[in-house]
Amino acid sequence: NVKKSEVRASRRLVKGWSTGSNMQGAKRPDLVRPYTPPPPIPQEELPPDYMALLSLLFGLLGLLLKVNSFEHSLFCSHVGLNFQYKICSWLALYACLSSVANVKKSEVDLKQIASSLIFALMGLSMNYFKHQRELPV
Amino acid sequence: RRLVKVFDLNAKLSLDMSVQTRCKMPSSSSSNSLICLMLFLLIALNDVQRISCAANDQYAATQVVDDDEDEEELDKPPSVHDDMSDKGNEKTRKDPPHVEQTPRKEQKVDDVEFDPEEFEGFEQAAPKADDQQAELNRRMEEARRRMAMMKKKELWEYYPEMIAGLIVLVYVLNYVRGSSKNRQIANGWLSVCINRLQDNFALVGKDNDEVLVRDSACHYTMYCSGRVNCESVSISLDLKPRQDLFSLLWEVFQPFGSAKWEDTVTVDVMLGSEGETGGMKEKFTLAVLQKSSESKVRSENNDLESAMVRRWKTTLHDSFSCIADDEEIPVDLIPDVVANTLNDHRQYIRLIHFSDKMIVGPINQREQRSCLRFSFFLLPDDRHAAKDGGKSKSDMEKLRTSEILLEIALRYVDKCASYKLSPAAKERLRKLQAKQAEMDFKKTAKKREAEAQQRKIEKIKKEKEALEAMSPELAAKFEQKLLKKQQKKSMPIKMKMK
Repeated sequence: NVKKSEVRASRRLVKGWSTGSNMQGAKRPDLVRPYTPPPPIPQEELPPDYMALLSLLFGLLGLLLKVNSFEHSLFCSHVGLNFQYKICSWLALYACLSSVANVKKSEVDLKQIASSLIFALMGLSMNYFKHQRELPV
Repeated sequence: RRLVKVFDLNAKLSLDMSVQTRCKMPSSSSSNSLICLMLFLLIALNDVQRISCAANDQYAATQVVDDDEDEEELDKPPSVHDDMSDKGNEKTRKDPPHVEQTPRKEQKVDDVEFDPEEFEGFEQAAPKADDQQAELNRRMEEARRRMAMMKKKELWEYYPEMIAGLIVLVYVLNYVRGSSKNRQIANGWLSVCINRLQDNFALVGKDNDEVLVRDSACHYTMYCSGRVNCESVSISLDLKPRQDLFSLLWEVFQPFGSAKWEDTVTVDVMLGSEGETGGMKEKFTLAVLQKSSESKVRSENNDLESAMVRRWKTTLHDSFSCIADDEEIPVDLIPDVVANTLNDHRQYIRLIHFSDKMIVGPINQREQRSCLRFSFFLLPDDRHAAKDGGKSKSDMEKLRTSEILLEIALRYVDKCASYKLSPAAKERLRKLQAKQAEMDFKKTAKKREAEAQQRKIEKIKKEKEALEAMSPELAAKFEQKLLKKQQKKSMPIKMKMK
């Protein structure tokens, strides 16, 4: 309510300036240009979705970096190093979530997001179910 | 016991495998997901193979341990565990197998009790026993570790996983909260400006139904049309990514002053070329922008990039910089009245850009046309104003300022449509454009030179090849022709010298 007076004052200022403005006749239904939706962007021209790429990378790292030596893990804190290789899969999941949160309807790249999500989930499941059945060679 | 455990785990593995293969894969039938599935199966099969090998090794290891236990020279295996840390220490290794030491000593002292023949070849056996002892130690260590790893982890030991899961939960909650806050801001802006828009435009929104279209959690767009002096207006609200926790954290840890996300509203007025929707009659460029972002804006816009567009002095506040083609333009288009209003709301103004060569449109449909662009901040940070003695405004109050700014924008639409440059200014602009064209020509000159050079080289190459391909007679003929040509060329020069 404090703003109303200020608004009125500025309106007066602006009104005084406008030359030849016909505010009453400005609206013209005959001049309407109907909305033309922009064509869908082909995959090649899409701007790069860095979060999805990052999540793919981390997912691959999480899958490929397996815990090779259980001996090492016992020398350090019993959880610390063991979790280090799983953290890649968790980071992949976070990056995937971030890319999903920031996706624009006009620029959505479903394949990239789906593949990064699959990699993240696969990495996590491989890391956790593997822990039960894997025996060090 | 160990064997039983191994085969038990094997059974569990087969169960896990069957569960995982029955897992539902996402419906997208892209090749990517197929590749992922194949990778998954490959890795799983690899694991099965490895585990079976491991199982065999484990079995072999247990066998060796049992054999060692039967040997006389060695004492009970459990005592070996205690000396695990002193593997390299010779003294302690000798301690448990007392039986080894005493026979040797007593052999020398007392021949009656111990038959030396019994311990024939004992010296050779002793190192062998030491080796085996070391091996035994190692295997017992490994086995112990495996036992420890195979031991089921307590729930509380999964705390890293719990923390990671908690982060996911926090992220999801933040998404919900952030996107709803953004929607609130967008709706607030709409409620403030909708009346003015409906007064000015016959068509507000795509089809008068859904006015503000949600592009993502932080991007909203709107389309308006049906007004004199312009073809259409496209409004886009780019809000802070409040829904993305990582973006917010990134912003917090960013060094001071670097690109920060701000809530902005961009009004792009597309001007027609003729008739009643015709906009700018003159071709000019004008921009009012924040001094701090001048270089960035210049680099982003082709028409502002050239040095022909210079800075002019106006009555605007010092934090603004006004650039234009000609000095007349800012004087005419930014009279004191408007300048005062802009100065009052200088925190809200990001960019005002008029141009006949602006590049607008979605990424795959860029076009160059005359356009007026107004970019305003929705919720600027006015904490320093509050500190100076003023009051920090609430969000709704800040949004009301956007109404004033929208009105200014609409007034400019009318003003630009009726604006005429003086003949002197037109002349100056024409000269500037000629200069600009010359500069562009010079820039491309180098490129064209390189191209011409390339073409020459190719031509010479072709001629050489043709020459080599020809038979000797034809080659001779060709050479004669060349000689004649050269003579002809040299002839006129001689005549000129004469």
